[in-house]
Amino acid sequence: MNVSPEIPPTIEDNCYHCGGELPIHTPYSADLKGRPRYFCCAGCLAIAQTIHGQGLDAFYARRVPLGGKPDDPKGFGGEIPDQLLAYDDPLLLDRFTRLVANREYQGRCLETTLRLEKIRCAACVWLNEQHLKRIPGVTDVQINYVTQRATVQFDPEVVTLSKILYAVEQIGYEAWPFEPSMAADIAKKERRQLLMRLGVAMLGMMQVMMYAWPTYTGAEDLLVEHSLLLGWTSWALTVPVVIYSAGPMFVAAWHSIRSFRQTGMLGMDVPVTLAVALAFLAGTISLVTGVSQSYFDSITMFVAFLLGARYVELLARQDAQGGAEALAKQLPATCERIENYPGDQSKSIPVVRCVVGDVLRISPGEIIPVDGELLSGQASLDESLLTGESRPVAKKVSDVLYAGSHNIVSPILMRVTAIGQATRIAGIAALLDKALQAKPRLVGLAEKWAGYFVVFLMSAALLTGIVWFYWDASRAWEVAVAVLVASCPCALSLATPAAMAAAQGAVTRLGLLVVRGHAMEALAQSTDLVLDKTGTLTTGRPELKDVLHIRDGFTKADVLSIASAMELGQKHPLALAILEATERLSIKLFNLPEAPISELGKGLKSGEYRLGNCRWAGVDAVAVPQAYEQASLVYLRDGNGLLAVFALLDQPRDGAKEFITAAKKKGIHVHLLSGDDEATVAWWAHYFGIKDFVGGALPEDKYEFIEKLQAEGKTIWAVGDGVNDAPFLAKADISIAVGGGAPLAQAGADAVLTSESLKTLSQALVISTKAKVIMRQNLIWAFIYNVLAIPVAMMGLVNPWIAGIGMSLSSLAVTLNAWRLRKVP
Amino acid sequence: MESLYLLIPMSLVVVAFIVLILYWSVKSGQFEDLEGPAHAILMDDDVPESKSPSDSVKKQ
Repeated sequence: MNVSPEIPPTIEDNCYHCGGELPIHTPYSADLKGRPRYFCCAGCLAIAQTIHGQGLDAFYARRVPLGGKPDDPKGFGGEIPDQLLAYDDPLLLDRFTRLVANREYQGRCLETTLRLEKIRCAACVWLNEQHLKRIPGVTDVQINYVTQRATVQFDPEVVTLSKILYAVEQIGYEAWPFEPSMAADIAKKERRQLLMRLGVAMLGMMQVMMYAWPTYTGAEDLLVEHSLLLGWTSWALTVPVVIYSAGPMFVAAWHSIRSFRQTGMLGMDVPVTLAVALAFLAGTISLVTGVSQSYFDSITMFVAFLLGARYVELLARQDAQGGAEALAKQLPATCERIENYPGDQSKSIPVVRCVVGDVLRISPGEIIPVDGELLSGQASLDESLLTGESRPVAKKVSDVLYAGSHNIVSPILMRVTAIGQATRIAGIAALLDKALQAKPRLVGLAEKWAGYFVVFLMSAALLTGIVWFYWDASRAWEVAVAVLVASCPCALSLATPAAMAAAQGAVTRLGLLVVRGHAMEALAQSTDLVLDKTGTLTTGRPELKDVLHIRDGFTKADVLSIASAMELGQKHPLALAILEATERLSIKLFNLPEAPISELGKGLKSGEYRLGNCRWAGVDAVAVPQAYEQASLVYLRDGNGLLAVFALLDQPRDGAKEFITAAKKKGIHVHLLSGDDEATVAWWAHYFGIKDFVGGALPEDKYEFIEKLQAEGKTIWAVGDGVNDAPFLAKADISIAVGGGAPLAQAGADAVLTSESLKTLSQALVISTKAKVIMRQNLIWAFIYNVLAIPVAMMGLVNPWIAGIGMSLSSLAVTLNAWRLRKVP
Repeated sequence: MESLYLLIPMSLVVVAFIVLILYWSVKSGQFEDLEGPAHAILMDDDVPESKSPSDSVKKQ
């Protein structure tokens, strides 16, 4: 055995392109701009040569150093793969492109929206933009850095859609065209409308304040005509602010009043619009009659502040991805159909063209696009995203295959049995939509108070009006309005949004992207935490834990070297884990006597060496320590019997234990709910110290589990990652999807965990608790301010500038208090 | 103070003009991506000094 012992890599230098570790004596090098550069693989070399060849080498200076590695490029100068060519099919082309409205290119050019994957920094955006722009026939490229979407205009007579997609793949990124859904259009319209309303309110506020300046400073040489002019100009600017900018608030307030009988609650919009409407009315009356003050400056400022807070909230909310879009991303758009089964003549076609009864070929590493039954031999499929089962499932002829599962080992043939909406995954998506509709909305703290506040405010104003009517009837109206304005629902209505926005900012930096506004407030209110196992608490990727029963005379490196040489090129998760361990230890691969042969579902053999389960290796099962009871065991033997046993174990996700401890400390009841088999779930539950666990749960079971807990009055916080988790994530009061998981799961969630570690969640829990405290402080402050301001206003002592300063100070105090949340613990 | 009669209507005209500009810029999508352009301006055709750690010539 000539295997080098565990040598640490001696070279400090890294791959020029990806920054990854260089293998010793790397064969990949090139002279770029007169300097020798070294690469870890042919892929990196090819990308770097392309980038330099196009004169885009500034990329290397601009990128954030060592970002991580794009996937290996799909080869250069080569043919466009069939999967991409299928996009040129008129059926798919129509779906994903539209004619350009631009006059210059009208009737000639098409426009498509692409979603770019693996974008990591601004340099990636720049590279893609430049690369695409240099393709002849492409007339315009716009990439949105935030949404990672590219809008490409091209001349279909010069360049094809498949060529554009291929160009992106060539530089190691990934692009897939998508249909901009109706929802996306509506969201865009909503965003632009609110921005316009906000702009009008801001301009109105600035101008009206300027006109109000003389009344603030009490300029003495101001004549009556002058104040009349200023008054009417202010009025003219306030009208659009009230009607256009605050319009939707009036509508919402009206709905809230109309549904009062059913809900028994008044929304925040009611006191807000009441104050705006009454103040505007009173201001207009006093303008006409020429007595007392107008409050136009207060009105415009109030509306502008509120819309500002709402705009921030809207942007956060719209980051959520729609369910339909996510489903489209989950499944491939094209597939390989066998035209003359049982022959083997195949053609790439769009999946939308498949009909029930077609025979498809699925290559290893591909995702199954439709439901069907297995026709050929055996298959090993990864269904973890659909069922939560952590290990690959072996399938035999006529077994059912589900769309969305991953073919791991060998190419398979399948007959289509269900397409589109009839597939299992579409069924789960439908359940998700149902759950989203039925989702209980947690009542925010401020909304609970708003009702009382309205009642209190109305009675105070009414009482003041009545008292003043008997005291000095001429001022009764004016003072009653002053009470309404000075009481300022501003601080009250800003109390929650400001704290929310600050808390969201803090957790975003930690790696938790909040997509539905109430998430931060709800975290602290949850009573029960329901966790998924595979992919959530554990990474779902096995890792080599130990090598047991090594035969005397062999070292760990020796046996790993043999096993890896046999596993080389295999896609099975266990094979990948063994290869990864060997690479990590820099062990050189053993020279096998014969090329390894893979027997599906059993193992590998090469000459006298056999690698696989104990039956395949032909040895007795060995006893393992208790810590490895749940481990997958891989046996290696040669002609003389057992050489070694590799114990591989699913990895707990970083920070999982701390997170569970933190949740328990907060008094949150923790449940483990998994689709994996009972024994595995029990073992992991014990490992994490979770008492309540359910194994073998179907998506429907999970949904019902949540429903049952909610019926008991519990507030559920759910964390999951797979497609099978999507419905229960959507049903839960507050749900977090793990970022690396299924897009469909993210569509159902309130927040997406973008960091690898679950520690972020324990930190988010702390921030959420703090946010709740700060919100309460803000509400108390708003209350105290009102308690002080209202009596003064009742006595008729408030004039416009006092009202203005009071309003600014109370809003500022609330905002600054919320700002404290931005500090990450 | 007679100037007020000219200046204040003028300010109204200016406001109306700004609203028009705002309307145009919102409609043409200038507020859709507030981060990208900030980076884009740094990425014109000039080449900055390389910061990549792998730039030092490799020692074998």
